[in-house]
This record gives sequence, structure tokens and C-alpha cells, in this order.
Amino acid sequence: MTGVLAAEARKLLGTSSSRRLIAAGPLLAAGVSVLVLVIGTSGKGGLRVEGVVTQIRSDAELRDFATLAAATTFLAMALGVTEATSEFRYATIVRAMLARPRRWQTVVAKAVVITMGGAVLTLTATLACFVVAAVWLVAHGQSVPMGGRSAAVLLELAVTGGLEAAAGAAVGFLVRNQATALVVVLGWAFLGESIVAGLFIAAKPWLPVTGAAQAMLSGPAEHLFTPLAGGLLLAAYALALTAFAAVALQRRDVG
Amino acid sequence: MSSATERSTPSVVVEGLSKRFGSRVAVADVGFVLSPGTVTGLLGPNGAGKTTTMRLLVGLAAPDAGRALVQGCAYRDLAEPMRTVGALLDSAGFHPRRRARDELRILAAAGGVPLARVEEVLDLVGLGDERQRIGGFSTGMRQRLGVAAALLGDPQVLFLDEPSLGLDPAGQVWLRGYLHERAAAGGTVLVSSHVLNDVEQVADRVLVLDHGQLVADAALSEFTAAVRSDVLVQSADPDALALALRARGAQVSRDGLTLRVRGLATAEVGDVAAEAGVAVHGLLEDVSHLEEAFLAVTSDRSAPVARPGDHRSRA
Repeated sequence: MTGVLAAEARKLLGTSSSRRLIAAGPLLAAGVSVLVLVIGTSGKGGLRVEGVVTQIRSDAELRDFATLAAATTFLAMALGVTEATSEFRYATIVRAMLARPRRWQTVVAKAVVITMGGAVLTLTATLACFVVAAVWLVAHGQSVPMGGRSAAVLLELAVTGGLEAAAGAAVGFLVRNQATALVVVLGWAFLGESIVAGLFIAAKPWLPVTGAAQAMLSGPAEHLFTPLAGGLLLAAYALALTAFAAVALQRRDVG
Repeated sequence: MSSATERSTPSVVVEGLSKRFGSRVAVADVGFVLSPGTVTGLLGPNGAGKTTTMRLLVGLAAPDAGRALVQGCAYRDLAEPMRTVGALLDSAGFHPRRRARDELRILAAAGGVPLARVEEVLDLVGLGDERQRIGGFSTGMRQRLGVAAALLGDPQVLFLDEPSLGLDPAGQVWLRGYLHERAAAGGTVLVSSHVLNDVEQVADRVLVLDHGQLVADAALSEFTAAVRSDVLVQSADPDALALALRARGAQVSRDGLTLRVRGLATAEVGDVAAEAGVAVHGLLEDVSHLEEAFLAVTSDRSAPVARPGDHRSRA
């Protein structure tokens, strides 16, 4: 299993498109952070732009600001999708299966590596938010109110990004076509869940993105679950999808 | 185990292999064995089931019936698949944004092959100094890389689907020589190709598929022995020569100044011309026995058959 993990790591790090996608996370987060700070402080007093606090005076407010990086979890999801579907797009899956005919090993190894890749993407994105906030605060003669709550968001977003990337990879293995898989995953995250949550309100906390992932970031004050429970639920989704993808790949013909 | 015993033990056993895609039968009850020390050509018209058979051998497709064993195991049960079987399949690809070296390192890691082997096989196929991304490779370079990937684990068994496709003449000559060497060293090689000339030069044995069924399984010499060769003769007086040849029982057809003669050996045709006092300007034996034998056993006679350079005949 070590060999196939090493192979998957080489695929992720050895492909320029994957490296660019991972690098896009912190760049996007930094860009959005600067934009929000510029817009949010252009008026008088503390403005709230789309719910984001731009007066950062406390640990909790710094934490809320850093959750801007949550937007990059969708990039992590897209990273998972493209990593899995490119195996079919470029037919590299054939040689992967020749090297590892026990196909579940490749699915599991890719899930593990993509989880780490997604976690790095969102972790660096969150750090980028902190850096922008710190520079902005120092430039305005204020102290940086970094504390336990704001630090915790690093872990929460890293876990969210990692698990959403793994889920994306599993969907990629199931759908195989890159464009279709991206539409399915992002369509579900941006539109599908809202429709389901609107139709079945009681189901919302149990949904992967608007339920589990947001519970990790917001906690029981706004959601049914604690951050830990939300994380476990998201992990359960990722594991179930990965298992389903492994079984499907084992049963289908390849190439 | 002695070398003789090793060579007599089949390394690949295929029994009753069948595969359908919807209502279309791709492979129907195919069975054969491949022994070490042989190069076997897998022939057939387009859609005959050659590639599907290759995919079934390496577990990329699941058979509806039958089984394929490599060294006594289904491919998926091999302890070290890449060290046992090297496969070049036309359905396999490479990521265009990676470099050849990276792609082979990925395969080496997945297959438990030492990374040092990557440089060896790249040098072997002439890509040792190549630095550009695979997206910029020519068809022949991609094919060389495919061959390198198949050889990465230094396997005893090779399954190669159209291996000479896109290779330049030097590459084709190298490949044929290499396959001979592998077989001579006790390897087992199965090569499918549309270029019958290639197979004729490399194979000891042929398997012919037609509409998914195995219609011939024989040593190359046996397979082509049944086909009578033609003699092509050019003469300034083809009518007189044709008359003399027919008098000796030959079947003769005429195309301009060239006569196609069936039923007499080359030397006999020359003798007849000399006896008749007719000048001969050219005398050629049609040596494309495999092509004739192939067309004789396959039903798809109308399908075009690759004729490299169309050099079917030689003196």
C-alpha cells in the first residue's frame, strides 16, 4: 500500500495543473480578504459585508474573518474531481490498474492523498486570510487578536477541505467524465443542497455541505451539530462515497 | 526446474474466454496456451476481438465466461503483476502535462519496481535524454514510452497490442530484434498487429481471430505452408510465355507485361522461359504467405489490410 500511496502523491505533485489548483487556494483567499477589507472599511463605522466582520477587534471576529477561506473548500472539491477524472480523461487509469489490479487500493490511496492535498489547499488559504488581516491590523495601528478560537478555524477548514476533496475524488471515480463530474459536484454544493434543504428542512443538518461542513465552522449555536459531530458526519460522507467508488471501479471494465 | 521443463510449461492459459458488449459478441469461447520462448502473433480483421482479448488477459475487462491465467493465476491475483506481465494496450494513455520520467516513476512506485529501472528502460527505448512534457511527444515517441512502461518491471510475459504503430523503421527493427531476444531468453510474447509483414518477421506462431472466434492456432510455418506462392514474371513477349507456362500446367493471369503464375516454382518458370526462347526481364516470388493465409481463414476479405510500403513481393 505504501507504493500506491507514493504513486498517488507523485501524480498530485508531479502534475502542473494540480499544483496550480492547490496554489490558487491561498491566492484566492488573500484576494477576497483584501477586497472585503477594502470594501468593508470604505464606509464609516464597522460594516458587515455579506456577514463578514471587517472590524477585527477580538479573537472571535478574527476567526469569523478567516472563515472567508471556506470558499476555497470548493476548490478542494474541484481538485478531487479533476485528479480522479483525469485518470479517465487521459486513460492513465489503464496503467494504474495494470500496476495495481486490486483496484480499491488505487481509490483508497487517491482518497488519502487528495485529502491531504485538499487540507493543504484550505489550510494555506486560511493562513492567507490571517496574514492579510494581520497586515491590515498592524497597518492601522491595531494589535492582532489571535487566540484559541481563531486558531481552531485552521484545523476546521483544513479538515473540511480535505474531506470535501476526498468526496470530490470519489464522485470523479463514479462519474468518470470530468466536465460532468464538476457539474454534479459543484451543482450539488451550490444549488442541489439548497433545493433539498428547502423541500426537506429537517434534512438540512444532515446534508454534507450546508449541514455537516457548516456545522464544523459555526457549531451548535447555528447548527444541530457540534463542530466535531459535523466533522464526523462529513467524514462519513467521504468514506461512504470512497467505498462506493472502490466497489464500482472493481466491478466495471476499464479502458 | 530444468530449463526444458520451464519452456514446456505454458505461461499463459486461456480457456473458453467469452465477452459480450450488449448484443455484440466481442470474444466467443477463445482458448489457447502460450509457452515460454515463443513470440505469438495475434491477428484478425478490425473488430475481430484482438484488443478485447488482450484486455481480458490482464483483467481490465471481466469475461462473461472462461478464464485467462498467467503463470497459473488470474492477473488480479498475481503477487507482482508488473514484474510478471508487461502490457502495451492502445487504450492506455499518458498524462500530457507530465514528463516521461515522472510517468514511469509513478508506475514504478505503484508496481513496486526500483526507480533505477526507469532510467534503464528510457535508455532502452531511446528516450533517456527526453525532457519535454508528454503532450509534445510524437506518436512514435508515445509508442516508445508505452513500450518502456511495458518493460518497466522486466517481466517474463509481454502482451503488446500494435506495438509498432507509429514507430519509425529503425524503431520497428529494434522492436523486432528485442522481441526475438526476449523469447530467446525464455520470455513469452503475444503481439497483435495489423501489419502482417511485422508479424511474419517476428512470430513463431499465429492466432487468428475473426468475429471473436479463434479460427487458426498454428506455428507460422504450418499456417503459411498451405498457401501456394505466386511467381511474378515480366517478359517482352508475355503472350508466348503465357502459352508455354500453360502448356506446363500453370495458371497464368496477365497484367500488362507482367504475368502472375501459380503452380510452378520460380526456377521452373525461368526454365520454361528459357526453353521457349522468351526473354525474361524480371522474376519475383510473391512471399506474402501470411497475408494470403490470413485472408483465406478470415471472412472479412473486403477489409483493407496494412501493407507497409506495399512491398509485398521480393526476389
